[in-house]
Amino acid sequence: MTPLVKSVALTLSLGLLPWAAQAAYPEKPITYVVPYAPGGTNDNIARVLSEFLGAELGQPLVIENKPGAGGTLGASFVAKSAPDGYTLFNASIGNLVIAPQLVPVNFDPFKDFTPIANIAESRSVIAINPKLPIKTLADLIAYAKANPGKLSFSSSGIGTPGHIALEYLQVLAGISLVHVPYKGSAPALSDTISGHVDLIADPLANGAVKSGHLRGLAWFGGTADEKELPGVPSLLDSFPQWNFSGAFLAVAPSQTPPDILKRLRQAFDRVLAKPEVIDKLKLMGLTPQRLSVEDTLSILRATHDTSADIIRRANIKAQ
Amino acid sequence: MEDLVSHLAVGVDAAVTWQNLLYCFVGVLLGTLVGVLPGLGPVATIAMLLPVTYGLPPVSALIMLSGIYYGAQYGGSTAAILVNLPGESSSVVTCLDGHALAKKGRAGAALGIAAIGSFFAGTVSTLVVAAAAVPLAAFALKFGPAEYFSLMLLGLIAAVVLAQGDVLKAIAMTLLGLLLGLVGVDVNSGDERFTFGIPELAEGISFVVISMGIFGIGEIIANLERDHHRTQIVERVGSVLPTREDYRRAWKPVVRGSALGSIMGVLPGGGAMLSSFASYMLEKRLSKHPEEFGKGAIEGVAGPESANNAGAQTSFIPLLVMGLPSNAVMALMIGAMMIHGIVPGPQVMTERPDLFWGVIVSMWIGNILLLLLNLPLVGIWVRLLSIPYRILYPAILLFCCIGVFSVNNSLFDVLLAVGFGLLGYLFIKLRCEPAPLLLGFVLGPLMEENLRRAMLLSRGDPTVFFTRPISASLLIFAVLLLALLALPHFRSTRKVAFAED
Repeated sequence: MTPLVKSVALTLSLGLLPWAAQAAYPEKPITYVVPYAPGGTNDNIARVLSEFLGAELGQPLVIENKPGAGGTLGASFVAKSAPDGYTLFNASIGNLVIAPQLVPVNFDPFKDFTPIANIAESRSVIAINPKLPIKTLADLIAYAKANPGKLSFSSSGIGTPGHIALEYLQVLAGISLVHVPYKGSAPALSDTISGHVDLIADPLANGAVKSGHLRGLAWFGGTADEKELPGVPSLLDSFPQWNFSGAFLAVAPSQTPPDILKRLRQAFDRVLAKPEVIDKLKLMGLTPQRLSVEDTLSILRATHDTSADIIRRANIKAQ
Repeated sequence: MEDLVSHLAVGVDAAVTWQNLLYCFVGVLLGTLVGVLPGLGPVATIAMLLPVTYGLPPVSALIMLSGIYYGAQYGGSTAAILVNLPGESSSVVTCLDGHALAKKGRAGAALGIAAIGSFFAGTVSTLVVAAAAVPLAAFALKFGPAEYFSLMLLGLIAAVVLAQGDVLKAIAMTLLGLLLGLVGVDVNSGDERFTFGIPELAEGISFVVISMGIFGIGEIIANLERDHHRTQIVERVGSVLPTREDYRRAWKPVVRGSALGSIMGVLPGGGAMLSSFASYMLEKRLSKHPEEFGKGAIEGVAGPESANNAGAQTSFIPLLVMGLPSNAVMALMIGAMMIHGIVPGPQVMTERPDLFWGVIVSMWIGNILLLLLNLPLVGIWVRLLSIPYRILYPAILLFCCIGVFSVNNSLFDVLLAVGFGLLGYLFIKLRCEPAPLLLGFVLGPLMEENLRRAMLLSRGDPTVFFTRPISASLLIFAVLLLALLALPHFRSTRKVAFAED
């Protein structure tokens, strides 16, 4: 081969390579990082989606559980990985925008990630042990004002959406509650049902309200109908300015090439429109929401700002 | 009673179909296999197999997944007895006498008694779940932070009594375990403790890392140094099955262990583990030969093994009755139910009785299958011990590493386990028993968390531990136990029992 032919061939192949790679995307299995141990809502969502996304993309989506540091370990793993569309992140509001305000992390939720799809909003219910003489949100506020510091609430941990939400309620209603953190929603809910703690705001409480183990005072995030939470009003009825809820979204490292992002966004959108996917997400107490990238970002920004404000006003600290 | 019979009939209808029997068998077989492999646990296995169950009907899927869980409990005791590796906290106790028996060439007896005891316990606890799931769930709810604190305190004091050798060393090891348990983010304040800014440590050190490091890697280093001339763990494999004398000594511990396990398994967070360990204590107190404990007493295998198997089964109660998962495996089962469109909770019992009772009946069927599977396998497992070191040890190391990695998909954890391996070697050189360290490590964080939670709820009033009846009785037990430890008579028998050899 003459040097000229060689260099022409080299130029051609170099020029062709990225094109070939992109045209074939995805040409190998995609890693979908779940930042918690198997079994939680985040993990369940990823497992439902991966089944359908695999068929849509023609390559399997392999779930990799990377738990640690409140979900931020998994987030920084994805932020640092190659932006080639083969490592995606199943994010929640908690690990993407709240935790970075409380613990030191080496990623920026807005600079290092770009949204692929908004998956769903989660409906939390503010629920109280039914032994207490409190039937409505107004009762709760009146009782808490008459007995400051007497009522306690459980949460799945410091800085989790359930904690932030009840701090927010205290700020808005001008009441004071004692926070009792747990390691996860299940033990927190268990101690609320048994009456060791009085209140909880958590998606897991939906079932306990429906079965009568807890009394629902108000719900926020997503939607609820009479069948799902009979007689429980929306929190917006009492506090129209309420601007906080838990949500789940799929994100990719921000430097991911636009055509790969386009392919991913299209695939996620198709899967999230499937009735069987919507049904499964609804069963988990979630409200599936297909949003544009811009709307997803603006909601993320708003949730970030609200939580930053609450963290400051309620003086929530970790570190 | 009539209710119970008709409920069980619904369950038999659902569980005894060819398809479900097959899935039950596949579940317990897989469970046994992952349980035997050190460090690999049911959580990773179930997580990997979840997608496989999408296509199955929900009853079959849950039957298979629960089979993996209690199958792994069975398999875990095999690894504890044969190679002294507790894959889960509930098999720490089995190591003490189970491995001692194996070293004496009586691994077959230990494995046989463990299998038969587990089967008996499984039968009892299945009946307990079927008959008393609802009242037991209500009992579990009576346990608040104050009660848990007192229970954990009782457990910690028992950890010292349990230890072999020097009491002072046992206390030191328990305290070291407590310190290791402090690593990670403090639940109450959110502050990081002893993490040195390493994010991988923020959620604490995993049990598997410490256990595989200290028991697995440490033990292997020490053995390589110790046994130049020997090439096998035991020279004599011994008789495969337990003798008549073994049965005579073991049946009472099995009955007591089953009862303890059935009750304590209902308590989330360490209930099943505490039961195995309470059973060991109880048997040692009641035994006519307490001096044999730690050196290969069959009662020390029979009781705890029955207790942890019964506990594994009754730990389904909070999940089935309230929809509350009591451990990581149960959380995965909730995920599996959700994926199949079943919302876990009290309504499952009324809306899907076939599923509820089918799973319960399948547990008993699974226990028969496990017995049929494991008794013939005892001979094969025992022969594993005659594999030469040069093949067995690299294999154990490999599985330890895979097991540790599989917990968090983290390379850091594997390196940490190697560090604990060196520490484990040091402990063997210093003749410090690692069992109290592991118990301190598991119980300490639970105890602290609940102490602070109870104090937060009482607004700083410490009398809450004495005014609540369950908590007060547990504390009285703890004081009695301490008194026993201090009594001269007990001290002297303890000395005999735990004299260093």
